[in-house]
Amino acid sequence: MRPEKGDLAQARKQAGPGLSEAEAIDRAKQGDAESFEALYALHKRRVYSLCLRMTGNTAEAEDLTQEAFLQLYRKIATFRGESAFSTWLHRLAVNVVLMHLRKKSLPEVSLEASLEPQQEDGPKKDIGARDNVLAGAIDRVNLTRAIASLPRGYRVIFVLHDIEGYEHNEIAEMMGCSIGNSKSQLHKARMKLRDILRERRIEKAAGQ
Amino acid sequence: MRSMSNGVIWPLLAAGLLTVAAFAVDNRKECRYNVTPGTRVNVTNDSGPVNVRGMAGRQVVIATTTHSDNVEVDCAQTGNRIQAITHLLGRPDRSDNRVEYQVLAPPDTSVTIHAPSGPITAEKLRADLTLEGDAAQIEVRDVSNAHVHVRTISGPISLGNITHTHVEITSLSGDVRLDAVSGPKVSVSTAKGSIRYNGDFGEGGDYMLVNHSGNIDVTLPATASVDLMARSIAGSVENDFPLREASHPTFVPSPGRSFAGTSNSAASSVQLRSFSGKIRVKKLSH
Amino acid sequence: MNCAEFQKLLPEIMESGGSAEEEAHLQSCAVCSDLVQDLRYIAESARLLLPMQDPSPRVWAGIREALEREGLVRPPVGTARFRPQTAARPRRWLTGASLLAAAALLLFAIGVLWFWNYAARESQPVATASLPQAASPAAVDDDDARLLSAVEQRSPALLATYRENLDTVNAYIRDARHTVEQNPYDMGARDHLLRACNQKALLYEMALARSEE
Repeated sequence: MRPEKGDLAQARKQAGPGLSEAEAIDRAKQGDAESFEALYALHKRRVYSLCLRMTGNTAEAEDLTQEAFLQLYRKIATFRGESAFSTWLHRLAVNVVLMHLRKKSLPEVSLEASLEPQQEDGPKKDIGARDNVLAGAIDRVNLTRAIASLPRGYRVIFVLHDIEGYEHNEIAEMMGCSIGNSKSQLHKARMKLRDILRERRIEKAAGQ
Repeated sequence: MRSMSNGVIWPLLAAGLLTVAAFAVDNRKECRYNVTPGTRVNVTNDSGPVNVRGMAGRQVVIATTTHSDNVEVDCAQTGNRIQAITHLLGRPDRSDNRVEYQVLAPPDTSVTIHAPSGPITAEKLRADLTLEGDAAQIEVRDVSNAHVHVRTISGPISLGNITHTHVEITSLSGDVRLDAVSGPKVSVSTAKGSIRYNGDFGEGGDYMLVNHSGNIDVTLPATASVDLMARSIAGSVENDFPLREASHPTFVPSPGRSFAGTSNSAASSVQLRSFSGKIRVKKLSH
Repeated sequence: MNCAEFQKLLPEIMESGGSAEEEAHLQSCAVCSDLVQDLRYIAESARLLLPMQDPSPRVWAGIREALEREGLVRPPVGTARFRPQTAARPRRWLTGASLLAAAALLLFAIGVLWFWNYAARESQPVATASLPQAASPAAVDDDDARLLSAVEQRSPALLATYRENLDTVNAYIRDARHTVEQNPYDMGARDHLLRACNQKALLYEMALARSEE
């Protein structure tokens, strides 16, 4: 997984004035309420953004953020520093979201199957026709909206791989699918995003 | 009976505890990554040595040994960038914060190392090297076709067998030693540190060795092809290497303070500058 | 190889690169080339998406309530929430930006001094180089003191090294500046002054790397 900006200075990160993250973790293990809040303040944005991008729903994302932090605080005494704290928290948050998505699907169906988009995207339909490339034409807002409009299955894989930086073997392990399937789903997600972004560009040009 | 058993038990118990403690504290971890050409590896280690060596194959292996629970090593790969960092979970001045790094990587891997106490060694590489250590001793060997940047505050620096490489070294008080180092541009700058160069200043490059109060000692073979200028503003210069006198528009040679001249085809430009140190240029005797 | 065959293999090609035949198709086919370019651009743009949103306050409220209900929190130890800020711990104002600004100011001040002396002494006779008899006081003592304080906070073991080398580089700057003042046309002396300033900037930069959080 890609270390977030600031990940690599974990021990030097400030959880508050005069309080390093390492100290906040130690105090939180002893049940210090203010240290819990300090750790929440430090990591809430990233965890919430992850939940929101994977679910596409604000209310769901807030519930899952709350659940992720609660699980963190219940388990914090077991954190031994085998990895960076933020890495540990991030993986925990991803598992919370994936568990939630499993529960929402039919119990007999695997997460992988439950996340399959309703419409199957085949090979690019307009083979042979050349369009202008997207390079330089995507801004953050449009891309974020496009990701939010992806079918759930595509969105989860895309967020985990291209945004959060997980490798296919990690995604396969988390989602209980094969590495090949993870690659295939990611490719379809990107193709779908391409279609969405091109449509929006055409609409925008037509509107002008 | 009891006193005899006590005499046996306690030493055994102590030995056992010590053994358990040793095994419990030392922890070796290895991270392996498959990489493509042009990969960059960044290592940050507050306390302890970092060794990097070029190795055949397309894997980067980062092996670390920690000695306490107060440090953790975090390795991660993003695309063609690999980062390994030591996190301090406790006080920064603990003696058991030391972590030993051993990195094996394909020779075309660019490497950046920040290790204040070091030592740092890098060898058998052919890509960009950026090595930084405050008090770290830094050694670079057997590097070619690369860019090497080294910075220390007081750590001594030693380069050996470096060819076709752009070299830039900066240190405040670290002594710098260059043996068989050549490339299109070689620049060394220290304040108090001494600079020692043994080699032929080859490849038609530009060489600049500058310091404040340390000495600059250069030994070169008779076959060296150089356009050499040496000057100490407030120190002294000595030369026993045969040079043909040449005029330079930038200064007027002053006996004891500066001299200039060429040898053979004057292919490389060599400037030796000290503010108040002694500059000595010698011919290599066989 | 036609486009349909190439695009069927794209998931693997995007991850691990393509064979010579696939590369050849990519080079020769504008449609597939544009497609690959778009997909790569999308992936790269996604990597640059930073976490942008905070959850509403109700999230923390819910967490706090659950923590209290489950008995996971205890009353805070002591009255002070955080470490008190004292003069002995000048961490808050000693940011990376302030240290860099100090280093930049140092270089600028020395540069201004050099140019002022160069203009003022233009008509004066050149004197032989000599070391200053008495060292003039350091131009930025306060910043140097704060630098050492920052190093002491983060890397106490390196404090002696930094202190000693601060003296070294300040001596270098003094010597070089004195010589430039006496010999404004001496390009070698000017070069030394510039290097001395760069060395001091290096010292600040490396100390900054220790203190950055």
